[in-house]
Amino acid sequence: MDELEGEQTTNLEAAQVSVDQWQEESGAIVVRISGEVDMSNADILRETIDPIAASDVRHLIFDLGGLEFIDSSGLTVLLAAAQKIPQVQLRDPSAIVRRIVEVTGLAEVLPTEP
Amino acid sequence: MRVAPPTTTPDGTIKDCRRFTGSLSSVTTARRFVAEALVHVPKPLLEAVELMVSELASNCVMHAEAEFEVCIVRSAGALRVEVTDSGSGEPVLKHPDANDLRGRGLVIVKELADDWGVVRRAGQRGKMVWFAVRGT
Repeated sequence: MDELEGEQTTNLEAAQVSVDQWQEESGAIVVRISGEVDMSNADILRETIDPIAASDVRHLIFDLGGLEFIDSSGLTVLLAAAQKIPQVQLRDPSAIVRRIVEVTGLAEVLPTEP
Repeated sequence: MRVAPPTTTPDGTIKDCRRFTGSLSSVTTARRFVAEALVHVPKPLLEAVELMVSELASNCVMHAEAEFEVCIVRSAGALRVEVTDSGSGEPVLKHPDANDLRGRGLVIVKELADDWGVVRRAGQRGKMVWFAVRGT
């Protein structure tokens, strides 16, 4: 970065996502996605979520309370899970996430937990 | 990534541009560039702008795999972002239903921006997709 000294610099940090998973008393599987998801790391999220979606889970909750950013490439991963699992819900989506889900017509497929 | 200082035109419009490589990581870097340049913008609006930039940068990298440039054009109360690439890919506004996994990027731009469009130059490859928001 020495050659950029004295000029404008931009944060070059790569997008990082982490995924935690547990089962609630109700039997629902909770998958907590934290960090940022864009096209640079959506495949990492997909590799984590796809095996869960391929299991016989009946009810999956995506906990998005720790999500700082997601775009349509990340949404695609959630949608792929929703197509395989009978019941998929979002927990704690931010205002912008709720808005994206609505404007892309996915509110029925990816409803927010009541 | 090439860095040039922002330019100011006589009418007070400030234009700040950066170029990015066609690699996947540029989608993240382009978003960070915009977030840092617009740190004064109200958070809900900035989040929408970051999202739209991510969608347009993704389109450049996915379809064109070409270098692209992001320009932020600021004037009183309004903000315009231009994403230009030299690739041969064409932006297509699709109307995906709930079973389609792709084609949501421009839908998001159309819904979140106050205005948007595509500019092509005759005889040249590539295009510029722009969007504008008010309330900055």
